[in-house]
Amino acid sequence: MSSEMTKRQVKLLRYGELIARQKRNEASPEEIEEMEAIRQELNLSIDEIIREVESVLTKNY
Amino acid sequence: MHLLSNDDVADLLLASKQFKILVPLETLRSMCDNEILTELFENMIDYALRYTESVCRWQRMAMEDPSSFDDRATRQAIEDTRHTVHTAFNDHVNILSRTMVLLGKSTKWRELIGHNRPDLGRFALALSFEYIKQPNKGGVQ
Repeated sequence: MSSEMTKRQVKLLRYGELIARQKRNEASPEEIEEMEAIRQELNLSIDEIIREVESVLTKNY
Repeated sequence: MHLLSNDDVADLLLASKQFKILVPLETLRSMCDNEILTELFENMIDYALRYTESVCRWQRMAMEDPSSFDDRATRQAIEDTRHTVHTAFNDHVNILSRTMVLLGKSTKWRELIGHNRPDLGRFALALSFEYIKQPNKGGVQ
C-alpha cells in the first residue's frame, strides 16, 4: 500500500473513532473540530466519509 | 449469458464495502418495547459503539506506527482494551436475549447473529454503522 493510501486510511480510521465517540456524546469540542477538519481535508460529505470508514474496516476486519 | 445491469454492479460493489446486516437495528429496537428492554438495547448500542471505536483505534495505531506494535507491552495494553470491550458487548447481547426469553419474546435474531467472537464483533460493527448513518440521532445516553 502506498504511503499516501496509508495516510488516508489512518485519517479515515481516526474519523471512525471520533464519530463513534460523538454518537455516545463523549466527543469533546476539540474532537468534533478534528472530525470536521479531516472531512474537509479529504473533501468528502458526511455520508461519503462514513461509507469510506466502513469500507476500510470491512476490508481489514 | 446473463449480464449484470449497472445498478446491479453498483449494489454489489456497495455491499462488498458494508457490513452485512443480519438483524436490522430498527427491527431490534421495535422489539424492545418496554423500559427494561429499551435500557438493555441502548446499553448494547453503547458497547457496539465503544467496540467500533476500539477497532478503529487498533487499526489506526497499527498503520500509523507499526513499530509501536513491536513492543509487546504496548501491543498487549491496546489489545486488552479491545478484548474487554468486545467481551462486554457480547455480554450485553446475551443479557438482552435472555431477558427477551423471560418476557416471552422471540429471540430468532440471536440465532441469526452467531455465537463466536468474530460473528459478534461483526454484528457490533454493523449495528454501529447503522446507528451512525441514522440522521438526527443523538448519542446513546
